[in-house]
Amino acid sequence: MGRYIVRRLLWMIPMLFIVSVITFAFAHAVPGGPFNREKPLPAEIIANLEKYYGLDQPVWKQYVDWFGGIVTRLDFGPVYSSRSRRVNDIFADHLPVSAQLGILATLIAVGIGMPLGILAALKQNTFWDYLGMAGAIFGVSVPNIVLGPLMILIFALTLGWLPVAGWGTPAQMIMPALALGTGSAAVIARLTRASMLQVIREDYIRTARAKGLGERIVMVRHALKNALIPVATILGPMFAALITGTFIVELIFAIPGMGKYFITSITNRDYPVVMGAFMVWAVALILANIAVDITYAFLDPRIRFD
Amino acid sequence: MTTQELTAQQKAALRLSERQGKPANLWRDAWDRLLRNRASVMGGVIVLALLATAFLASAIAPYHYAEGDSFEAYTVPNWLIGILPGNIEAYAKTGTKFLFGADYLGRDLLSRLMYGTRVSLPVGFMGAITALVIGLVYGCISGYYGGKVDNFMMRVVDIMYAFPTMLLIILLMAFFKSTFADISPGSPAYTFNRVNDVVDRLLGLQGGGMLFIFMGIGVTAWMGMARLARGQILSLKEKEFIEAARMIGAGDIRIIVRHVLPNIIGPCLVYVTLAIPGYISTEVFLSFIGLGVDPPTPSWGTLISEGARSMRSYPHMVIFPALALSITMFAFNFLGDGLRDALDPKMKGSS
Repeated sequence: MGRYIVRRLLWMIPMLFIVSVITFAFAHAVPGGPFNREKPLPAEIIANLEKYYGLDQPVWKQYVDWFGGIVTRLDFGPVYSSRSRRVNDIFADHLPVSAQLGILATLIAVGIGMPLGILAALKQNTFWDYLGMAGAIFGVSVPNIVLGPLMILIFALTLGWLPVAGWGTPAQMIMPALALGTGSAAVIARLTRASMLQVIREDYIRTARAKGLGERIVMVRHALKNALIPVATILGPMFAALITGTFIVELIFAIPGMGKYFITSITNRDYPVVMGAFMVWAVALILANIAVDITYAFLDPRIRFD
Repeated sequence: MTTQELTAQQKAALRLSERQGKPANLWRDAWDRLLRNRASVMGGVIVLALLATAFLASAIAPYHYAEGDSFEAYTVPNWLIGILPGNIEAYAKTGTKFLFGADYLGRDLLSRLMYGTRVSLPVGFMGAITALVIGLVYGCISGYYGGKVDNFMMRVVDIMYAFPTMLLIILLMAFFKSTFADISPGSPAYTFNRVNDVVDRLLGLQGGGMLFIFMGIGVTAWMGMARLARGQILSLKEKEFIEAARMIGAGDIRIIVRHVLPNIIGPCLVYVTLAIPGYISTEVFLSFIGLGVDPPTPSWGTLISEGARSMRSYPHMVIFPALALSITMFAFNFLGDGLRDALDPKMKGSS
């Protein structure tokens, strides 16, 4: 197990290297430089700026400087549109907000989805089951780009319970986190229910009941633990999708996360910000996938890695 | 519980006796099961209605999508006034000319919604086709040949998975938009733009840049399908009937096409049907941030973004596109769920 984790972590290095090369190539293939403004700057000034930021160097040298800076000093480079700030400053300001939003949404997805799925399975074919699953299909089908404005319209503009936009206070966090997490909560609820229903019919559940174990122990120790294996496998990709999918919700609720910044950086050709964002998220995605595989092994002792 | 199971069995036996003589056929059985599922029939009907709208938009839409009258800007339909909160009559122009009202340029919202199906549906279907074609071929090759080939191909998929999908699509769209903005005749970009124009015209739109969106979504659409197809093939290829086919001298291509594909196409179809809402909402998001279709081509994403901007004063502008999008999502999800239950009754109820 330990060796497996180490090997997976070592695999990260070539993967991140390839991601960095592709991202760098794409970012530099976009025509137009960061200093092409609507009102053109004099050629000398552009030349000076490019010299200052090392853009007059050959492309491979630029790549080595950039990637070397990340690896050796965790320095993601300069921001072309602002002389006083570096990419690290931008990340320090905006990434935590996006991360908070993504984590809150994941908590909502798991916290609502799992109990709902378990409840629906335990009370199969009752009113609660139907209600829960109707809610789930609603959650799956209504995209957050609709849910966001809808919630603002109802809870902020009409009822006035919650603030329309912004980030910081718990009241401001409720709607964005719900808008982002509902879809995933619905997916988890449906998967949990299906998986529970399958497990409940297994022989070992009958055995556990037959030997006189209490219903609670049978459900928690025997059924739930096995039913959660398929759920655990989608948690990684889901967490990854929520962390990287915060953009839409950030734009709708005017949240100062990475979303807005990333999009303006792309239109401004501010490559270091764009490339840095890719690297940070790639690390998060790869780690999430490794975490899932480890959880998987922990939940299902039949799975062996070597 | 037992009685329910019995009746279900009896019903099955009854159905079996009804079609005596007719050979059992997986696809006909699946079709029968699908028709018995009311939710998915409804989903299918809605999808067909949307398709019809897309085909007939220029005939049935009351106005053209780009045609606006600034005197009619922000018109709220009369029938909606009573439903919406607040006193909209105090400041808004009302009228009966437009069923769903007008947008900020006085363009008919209903017409723009109708033409919007010419953006959303093609995006959904093209995403599904790309996923099926590239993903299936990729997964089949990887899973069938196994060994080093498989190892290499799956590492490629792993690397693709390390890219944040949404960011990658945004970057690609920005790349396309600026690379192909070059319109000097003779350059590759020029040729590409002509192809794009043809695509737009085929879809019944005057410009919009649909080809770029297809490509952006296609780049990230195939990986999930590739993994699914590979997994299915891995468990199939050790089966006896594959061995038997190889024994009598069938070639790889023949085995894959005649013996493997028919066995894995069911789950793959279900997968893409359930993935279509994802492709559609990706385009909606791209248009929301201004990197999707070019105005004045109406995408539901553009409509939602325009509506969200004046949501406080003119909520009708966001409500209708949001509804249209949600209904479309419901339809594809119901259809996909029904397909899954029909094609693989064992999987019933799982997602």
